[in-house]
Order: sequence, then structure tokens, then C-alpha cells
Amino acid sequence: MNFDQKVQLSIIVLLTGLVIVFVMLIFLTYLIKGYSAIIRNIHPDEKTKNIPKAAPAAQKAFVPVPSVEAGIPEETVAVIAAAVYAMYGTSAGKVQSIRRAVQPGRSSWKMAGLLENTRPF
Amino acid sequence: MDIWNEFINSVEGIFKASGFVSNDWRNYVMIAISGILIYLAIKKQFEPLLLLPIAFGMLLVNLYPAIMAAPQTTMQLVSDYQAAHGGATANYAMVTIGNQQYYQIPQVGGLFYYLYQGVKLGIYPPLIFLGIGAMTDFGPLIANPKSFLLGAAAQLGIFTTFIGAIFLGFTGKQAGAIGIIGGADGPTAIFVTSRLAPELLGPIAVAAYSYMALVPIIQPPIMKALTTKKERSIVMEQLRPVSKLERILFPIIVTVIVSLLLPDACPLVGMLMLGNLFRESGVVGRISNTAQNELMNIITIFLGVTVGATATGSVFLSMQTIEIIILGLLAFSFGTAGGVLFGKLMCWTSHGKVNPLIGSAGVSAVPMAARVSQKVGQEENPGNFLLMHAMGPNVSGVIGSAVAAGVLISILG
Repeated sequence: MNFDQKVQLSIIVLLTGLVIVFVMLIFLTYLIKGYSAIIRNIHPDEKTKNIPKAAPAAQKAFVPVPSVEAGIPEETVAVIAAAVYAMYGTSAGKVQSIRRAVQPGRSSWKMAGLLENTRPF
Repeated sequence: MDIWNEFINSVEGIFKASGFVSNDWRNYVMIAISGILIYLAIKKQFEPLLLLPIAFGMLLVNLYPAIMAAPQTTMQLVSDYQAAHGGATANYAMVTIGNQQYYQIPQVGGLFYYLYQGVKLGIYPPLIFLGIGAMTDFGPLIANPKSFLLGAAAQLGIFTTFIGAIFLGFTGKQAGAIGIIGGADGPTAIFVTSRLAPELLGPIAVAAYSYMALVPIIQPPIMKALTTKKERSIVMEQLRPVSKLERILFPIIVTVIVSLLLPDACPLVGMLMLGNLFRESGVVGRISNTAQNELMNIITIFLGVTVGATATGSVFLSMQTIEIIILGLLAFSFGTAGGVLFGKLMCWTSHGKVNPLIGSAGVSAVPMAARVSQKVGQEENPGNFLLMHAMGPNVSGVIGSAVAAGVLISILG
């Protein structure tokens, strides 16, 4: 193969390869977008339907914050108190109130799952 | 005295047939290299599932080259055969040379010769793809189909390396096989090489799998060099949930489209998607489990040892191998750069909604490349989880490299 033939073959393979790979995957991109949109229109996600609307923020402001937030079972309170004692000993004093931490993004369980999945690396 | 002479002759015969006499220095160098690879697989855990069988296959073939020997036919005088077998005749084919009649006695080939037929005939790579399909969640790709573009951009390394190989003096077919290393997909590399340049299978397979193991070392410097701190810190929006129907339709649609447009990619993409359909249909749990566990493991053993066994001293220790290893590194680097640069373009067009780091995952190497995106992103922002976003380009890279393989086979095959 002389120099000109090498240049010619290189250009053919480079152009054909990149163009076909891009065209094929762009085509698949639009195809998937299209059928996903059709499916979501025909079968709207049940989960999103059933999600209750968040309570208005203004309503929350009038609710007094209890020392132990409603909905936290006594066993959980005991476990949290034990964990605090295990970590800090008697210097931690007395648990006076327990409230759910503000979770702007993911829950602790989601975070734990993500960390577990990404840890091995 | 006769007994003593016979004893000496027997011992001498055994010694002459031993590896100490029949092997040359290149075999011993390869034995040392296989020792290093075994160390890397066990101690450093570099892709141990593949590197360990490859290294041991390399060790075995350099200790006992006949383990890869093709079956041959020997000629024996019919009279000699009968004398040795108490006058019994055999059903072997007979030829007459001069006035003498000979049996053509077929000899059994080496163990790896038979196992290697799965590589040579292109059987193992599609079966590995079946297992990969059964293990892969295409959900992130379906949720964000634009990821396909990153998987396409990361194939840049394949075609640019092809040019490098052509100008280094490799033939078109050999250059195509070397370029596919840039797809960072072992089974695809083996599939293309077995079709285009089987004589280079050993060095290409070893280079492909070694670089896949070295993805965490090769990619981060390129990713950091091509992106700014601000770009690396971009937090991407959470992906939407994907319905079961979308997941089931995906493998069917991809198979139909790719097979119709590029038939040469059908064996790889078809098996990948069949495995995925097993997984997503939810009605063939047993088959899905077999594809992703037992079958995958068995094929991995056969593929690993036989690919390693192609790396004999005389084949592997050459200037050509060094060139292939350097070109393989360039292929990986260009592929990574192509993905990241296209990620930057998508970042710019989306007004900062796409983190360019996920582009590097487009080079396949599932899931290692996606984990590299995750790790490099977390170095800038520990609360940033790019893994699921990077899985989109990562699995799209598998489809992209299979399509690129089909293109190479179609043009050069």
C-alpha cells in the first residue's frame, strides 16, 4: 500500500465509521424518545398519580414542633437515645427532643445505597 | 547392559521431550510476564475475572506449547500397525505409497485447540454479550436517550487509531482489529480480531483487557485536563423512572434497527439484546440467571485461557506487539477525549445541565468507566452522584462499539 492509498483508506474508514455510528445512535435516540413518549401518554405512571400533594408551607408554620415529633415510635426514640449514649457517653446529657433532619435531596437510605454501590471503586 | 542402555535412552528421551530442551528463551520471558499478570490480577485485582485465566493460559502454553497444537494425521505402515496391535486391523483411511500400504491415523489436538474454536469461530464473544445483556440495566439510557451521542463520540478512538496503525505499516484488516481496542470492549475486540486479523489475537486481547483494567489510571488525567473545576462540579437532575413496557420494547427495537441497517453487528447486538430481554421480560428468570452467572462464567474461563494461550513467546515478543500496545493506549485516550469533549458540547448546549465527565464512560468498559466518572466527579463535589448518569453513555458505548465493529467488518472484512 503506497502513501496515497493509505490516506484514502484512512479517510474512508474514519468518515464512514463516525458517520454510521453517529447516524445509527442518533436514530436510536429519537426512536427511543418517540416510543417512550407514546408509552407515557398511553400509560401514565401510576406512581406519580398516587403521590399525595405536599401540604402547604403556610400550614406547617402554625404547627408547634413537639419534643418528639409525631410518628416516631417509642422504640425508635429508645434506639436513638442509646446510639447517642453509645457515641458520647454520659457527657451527652439528656435527649430532650427528636426531630427529622431536613433532607433536601436524598434520604439517608438512598445515600447509604449510593455509597454502597460506589464504594468498591 | 541392554536394560541399562534402554533405561538411559528412556530417560534421555523424556528429558529431550521436556520443556527444558524444547522451550526457548522467549517462552521463559512469557512465563515471567504471565507471572506479573497473575500478580496484578490477585494482588492488585486488575480485572481478575479475565486477567487471571488469560495469564494462566499464557503460562500453560509457554510451558507446554502442544496444548494449542492442531490435530494432525500421521502415517503408519499397515504391517507395523498390525504388528503393534496383535494383528488387528483398523478403520483408518489407507493410502498406498510405492508398494507399501499406510494407515492415516488422526492424532488428537491439544486441549486449548478445541476450546479455542469458540474464539476462532466467533462463538464466545456473542455468548459473553448474552450474559452482559442479562446483567445490564438500560434504564438510565432509556431515561436519557441523549446518552447515545456520548457512546458514539467515544468511538472516536477506534477510527483515529486505525489511521495510526495504517501508517505504522499494518494492513487494513490488522489496523481495523487494532483500532477496535479503543472500543474498550473485550468481547468486541476479540470478535473483530478473529474475523479480520486472527494472527494478532493474542497481543490485541491482552492489550484490550489490560487497558480495561487500567481505565481508572488512564482516564482521570485526560478527564481533568479537558474539563474545568466548574464543569466537573455540575450536579445533574435525577433521571425519570422507566416503565416496564419501555424496558421490554428497548431490546427488540434496537435489535431490529441495528440488524437491518448493519447486519455485521447483528451477532453481538442481537445476543446483547436477547440477554436484556430475558432480564426485562421477567418471565424467564431461570434463563436470565443462567445467562448472567453459570454461562457467563463458563465462557469467561474458556475465553480467558484460550486467548491467553495465543500469546506464545514467538508471537508475542515482537516489535509488532509493542506497537499494538502503544496504539491501544492511544485508542483508549482518544476515545476518552472524544467522549469528554462531546460531553462539554452537550454541557454548553444544555446550558450547564450535563456534567462532561459522564462522556468518558462512553468507551464501554462497563461498569468501570462509569465508576471513574463517579469518582472524578466526587473529588470535586462529594455529594455529587454521577454513577447512574454515567451508566447511560456506558451501556450506549457497548452498543456503539458493536456498531463500530460491524462497520469495520463491513468495510474491511
